Amino acid sequence: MNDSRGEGKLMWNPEWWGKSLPPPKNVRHLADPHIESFDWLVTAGLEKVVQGLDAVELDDNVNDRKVSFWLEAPEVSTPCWRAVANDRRFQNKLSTRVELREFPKDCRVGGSTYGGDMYIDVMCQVDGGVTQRYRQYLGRMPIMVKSKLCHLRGLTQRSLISTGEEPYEFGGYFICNGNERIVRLILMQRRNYVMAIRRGAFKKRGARYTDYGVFIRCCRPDQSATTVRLFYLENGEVNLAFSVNREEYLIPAGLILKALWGTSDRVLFESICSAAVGGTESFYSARCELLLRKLEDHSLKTSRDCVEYLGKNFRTVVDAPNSWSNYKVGSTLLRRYLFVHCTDDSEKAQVLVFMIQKLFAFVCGTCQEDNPDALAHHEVLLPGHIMANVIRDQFESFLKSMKSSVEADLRYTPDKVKYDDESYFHNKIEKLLTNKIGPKMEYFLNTGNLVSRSIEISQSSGFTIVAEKLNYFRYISHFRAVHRGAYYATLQTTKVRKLLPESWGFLCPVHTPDGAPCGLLNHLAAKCKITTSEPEDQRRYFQSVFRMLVEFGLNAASEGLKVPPISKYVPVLLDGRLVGHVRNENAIAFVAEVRRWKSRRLTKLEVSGDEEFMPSVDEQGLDTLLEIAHIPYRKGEKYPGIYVFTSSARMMREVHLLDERPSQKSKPSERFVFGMEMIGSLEQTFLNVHCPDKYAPLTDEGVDFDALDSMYTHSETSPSAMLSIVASLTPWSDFNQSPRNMYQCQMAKQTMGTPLLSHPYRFDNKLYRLNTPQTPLVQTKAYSDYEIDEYASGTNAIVAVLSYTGYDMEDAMIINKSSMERGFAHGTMYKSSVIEVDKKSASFGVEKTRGVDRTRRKPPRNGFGDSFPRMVPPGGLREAGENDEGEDQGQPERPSPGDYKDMDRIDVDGLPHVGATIWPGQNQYSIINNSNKRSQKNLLKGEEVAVVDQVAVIGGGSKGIDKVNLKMRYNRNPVIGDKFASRAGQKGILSYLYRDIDMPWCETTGIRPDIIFNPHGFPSRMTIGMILESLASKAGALRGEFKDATPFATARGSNKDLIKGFGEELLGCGFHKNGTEKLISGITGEEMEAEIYIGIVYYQRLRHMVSDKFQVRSTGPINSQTKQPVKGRKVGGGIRFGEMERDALIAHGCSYLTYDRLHLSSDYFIGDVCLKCGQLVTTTRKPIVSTGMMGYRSTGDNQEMYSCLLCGNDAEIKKLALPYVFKYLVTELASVNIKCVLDVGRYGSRGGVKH
Amino acid sequence: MNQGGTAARYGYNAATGEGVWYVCGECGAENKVKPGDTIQCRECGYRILYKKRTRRVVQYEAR
Repeated sequence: MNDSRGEGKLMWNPEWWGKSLPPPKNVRHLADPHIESFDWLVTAGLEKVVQGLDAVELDDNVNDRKVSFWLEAPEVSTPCWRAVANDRRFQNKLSTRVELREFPKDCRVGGSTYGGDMYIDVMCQVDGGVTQRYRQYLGRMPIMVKSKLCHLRGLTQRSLISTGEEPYEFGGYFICNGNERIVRLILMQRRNYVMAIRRGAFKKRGARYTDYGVFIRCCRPDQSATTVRLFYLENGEVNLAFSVNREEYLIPAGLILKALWGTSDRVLFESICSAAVGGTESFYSARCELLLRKLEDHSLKTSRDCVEYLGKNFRTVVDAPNSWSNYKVGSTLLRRYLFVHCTDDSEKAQVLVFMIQKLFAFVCGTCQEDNPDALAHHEVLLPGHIMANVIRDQFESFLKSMKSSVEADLRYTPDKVKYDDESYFHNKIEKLLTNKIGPKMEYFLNTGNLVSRSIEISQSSGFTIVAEKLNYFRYISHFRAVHRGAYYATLQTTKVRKLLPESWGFLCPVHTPDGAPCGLLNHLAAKCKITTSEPEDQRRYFQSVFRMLVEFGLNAASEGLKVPPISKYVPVLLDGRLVGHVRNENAIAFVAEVRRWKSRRLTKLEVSGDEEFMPSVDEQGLDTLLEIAHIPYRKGEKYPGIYVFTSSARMMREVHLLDERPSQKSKPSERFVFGMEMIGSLEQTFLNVHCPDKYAPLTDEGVDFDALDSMYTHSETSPSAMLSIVASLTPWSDFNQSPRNMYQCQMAKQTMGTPLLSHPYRFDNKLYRLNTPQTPLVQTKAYSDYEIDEYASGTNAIVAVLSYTGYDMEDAMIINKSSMERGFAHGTMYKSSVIEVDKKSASFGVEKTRGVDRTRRKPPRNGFGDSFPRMVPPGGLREAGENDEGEDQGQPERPSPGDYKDMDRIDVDGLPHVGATIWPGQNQYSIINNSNKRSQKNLLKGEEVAVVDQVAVIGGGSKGIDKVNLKMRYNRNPVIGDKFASRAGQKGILSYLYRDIDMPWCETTGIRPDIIFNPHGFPSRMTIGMILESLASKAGALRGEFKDATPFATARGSNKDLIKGFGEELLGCGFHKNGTEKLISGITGEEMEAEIYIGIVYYQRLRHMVSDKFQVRSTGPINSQTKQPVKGRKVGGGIRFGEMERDALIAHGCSYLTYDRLHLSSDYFIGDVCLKCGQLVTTTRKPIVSTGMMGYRSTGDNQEMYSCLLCGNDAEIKKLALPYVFKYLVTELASVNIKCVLDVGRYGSRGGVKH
Repeated sequence: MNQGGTAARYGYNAATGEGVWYVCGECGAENKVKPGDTIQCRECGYRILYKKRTRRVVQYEAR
């Protein structure tokens, strides 16, 4: 980071880039959905959660009083060091030097949690009198990095660097115990939208239930949701279902409708039947009549009757005090659990009417089923929203437990209940609430487990994951990944995994893993945004949108007004509330008008020069994110309506809005871009968005819209806008076979690259780093847009496509040894671990040496047949205090005073010297046991030599060192067996580091390739992108240019132009236009017959390295029970020679090899068998009686020494080679009284094993 | 690769318990910490201290 370059772009000089670069701000928006939703939580969300919770009331029948509790004024502070602030030593320095703010870096290094203090007011009121307010500390709530409460918010790049952070930090994660964890984005059913679904499982709800149902997922302002479901019964009835604490309740829909809408049956009847079209009138009217008549059976005549009926039956569900009337209980039920997105009962009634209409239309076939797997019906569960749910759940259960606690007191110790005594409530609240919520949030983020009864989410775990900084691609992918939900991973069907056209532009079609999570774990397209803004005053905002709609021609709905017939009027729903109707013939113009309004708002916003594209809570910003989906009536298709959404959690993307100037006199009509518009996923399904194609291609001037079919109302901003960031980095991905692009997305996330720039301040568990990263010569537009160059992850390599020596067969590749030695693909691995000691029993320190005992010195252990192979320092492992001189003189060296154990690498504080080399099997640090003052073993595990990179001592306020973060560095330069890949999904294993002098060389230039790639890799994989990259890079390298390889954009017209262009450039530099060159064999010095395709390809080094994977043993640990070799690389185990391998050997007739593998090299054992009774377990060595001592003969193998305990036979006992497990089996069988007899009769006569 | 040796060579003495120098992670001040001292920078109160790089000749295999 050079000072002269200033704060802005750090990449390179634009002059030799050759074209202007867009301002670098895209990367900062990668985690926006995460940060904005968390901002919502801490600014408005917590307040809304508290407002959304009803006060809990309880009747005190003992003292005849009424008590109520509720919560107010939640607050979360920014992270700070409280202990420092209270430290007297720094009191006078506080204002000047002492930093009280706790930064994310401190938590990462210290292995702690980045969090702020959380407080709330608990309000208690008795008999409606004076409210008592109790401020309570709720614990430390984890704070999202770069959120409003984070100290990094708004810092410039320079200040970020000076605080030890990434200059390009975009936040969006939590730091829990030093780990960076993020909350996964999960797809949910779209809120406030009525879905028609057929599912066999509905029939299981009871007799007469059919598989028809309609659902609506209603969201409260605090983002908690409840689902209301309507089920169709065989006899035409409709039942409504809703859940309270995961308990489902079914009620006739008519009852709820009447309870919500106190109007005449005739109005109810007519409003439902207004939706009947084309001969379905009788169907509607018959079922509607049934709906209303059912109530008469229970003599529920008025609306009040219905509410009271509900109140009577749901008293326990609502948990209402006895003093409440049935009516109050009923209306509380309706308010709390039904259609919670509506503000009043008449709105709710309208939604219910709409649902009944849709259900009837669905049953009689005038409308189609909604696909629950389509993105049009999805929204995203955002981190802030799920956390709001967790907090709501905690608060709710606190209020409940508060109530039950007081009730328990009233029942058992009524004299203890003193409302006037402040300490009564205070003690209770302290017990139930203090430091309770913070740890719960931390638990949620640490484990991803959700423990809740009230939250309606199908999964209970897997909500959070570690944001691994393996490399930059993997890291950013975590923030862009959207999961379908854990439940869907268990499904046998592949339906949910299918790529549907609705996902276009929102989810990347390329970037999904292959294998188990394929299609379930998707990634957001680079330009896809998730709405996070919520209006501060929702009611007011709705009014303003509503007024806008009315202005454009909406006929507002009103309770008194008759519902107009759907055949003429299309209903308009604003966030799931019926707000009015528009005449069918005006609908298209109405929607177009709203779109133009939307687009104008967006343009205005951009012109106003706001640096942030989406202001967080600004109504103008909200307006641009309005989604308006017009679904016209078509028989048997999607249910008609104009659906307007303003809510958060929707996916949106930007497109051009097209408009047409009508033809005037001589001038023909003209199409032009009206402006940008944000469109949502439901909206998009009913729009015609043009993507540049061969009819209307994207030229330098843009798309020629007049050539466009008039059906298009919108146009894509770029043809590669559908790709995710990682997918859009693949050069010329449009030239590759599609699965190769998917593989590349996977491999990009496994490369060793530049995971971060702030290495001295990072103590990640494991970090890979490429020592010599380069900028690719061929790059896409996204590469510079997203500042990937700051985190480069590969090397430009000269690649000859050549079959040479045979070492490049089958995806293997040859690397020039000299290239490697010059630094090609050199890498490093860092491993950090936090070491804590319990002060009571041990402490960091060193053990004094008490002289060296030469006789007990162990021999160096690195020979064949060692416990398991390992690396040892030259000369073997040494004991403390030895040195070479001592060895030479052949006499014990006396330790100097002050010498201690392992002093060659460990300092007097017990911690290793920074820069010291530690070999496997040596102590890494020294912890002294307090009781015996001896050091404990803390050996370096594995097979690799480590170098101590950093040692951070973490103070916790107590005396002495008790917590240390130790960072070790491992060399990971390329060795045979390491994995490499190009950017076209072409991976290969390094099979030989070939000598430079033996490599083939170009006749004209003398250049030797870095990599030899086998030509057989191309025909079946069809990665033309890689061939093109090789050609383009070559031309680029010769001319000193970077080449643009943005997919779809560069190939205007035909592909030939691109290849021709590079060919001409090569010609101009004196090379063959096809990229081929004459090569001379490095071994024979002869010219090769064919001309070889040689160019430059950007190669990535993958993190799969032999050093982490090799598994060899000759002898080693065995299982103590079976005496067979153990499994597992870590413990030095073997690789199983299984049944199928055995079959293969048998098929080959390799009987001795089979015997060797399965017996001799496994659990070879010599057992003693009694030939008389065939027993294996009863044979024993005969005690030697003559000595008069109980003892066994330990030497000799004379057969007379053995006897059988069962038959007393001591003559006929033979030795027999057996697998030890067999003996074990026989013993086990004997223990359960099963006798196992070996038929060794014939064998016995032949002699058996010779010993 | 000779890493053995006596204390005199490294210029410190464990027996005297003189303590070890650390660098503050916040202000960069050097702090000498003896056994039993609180781990905290005397200048700025920061709680994370880094161990200084060894003064010894360090030789790595460059093969």
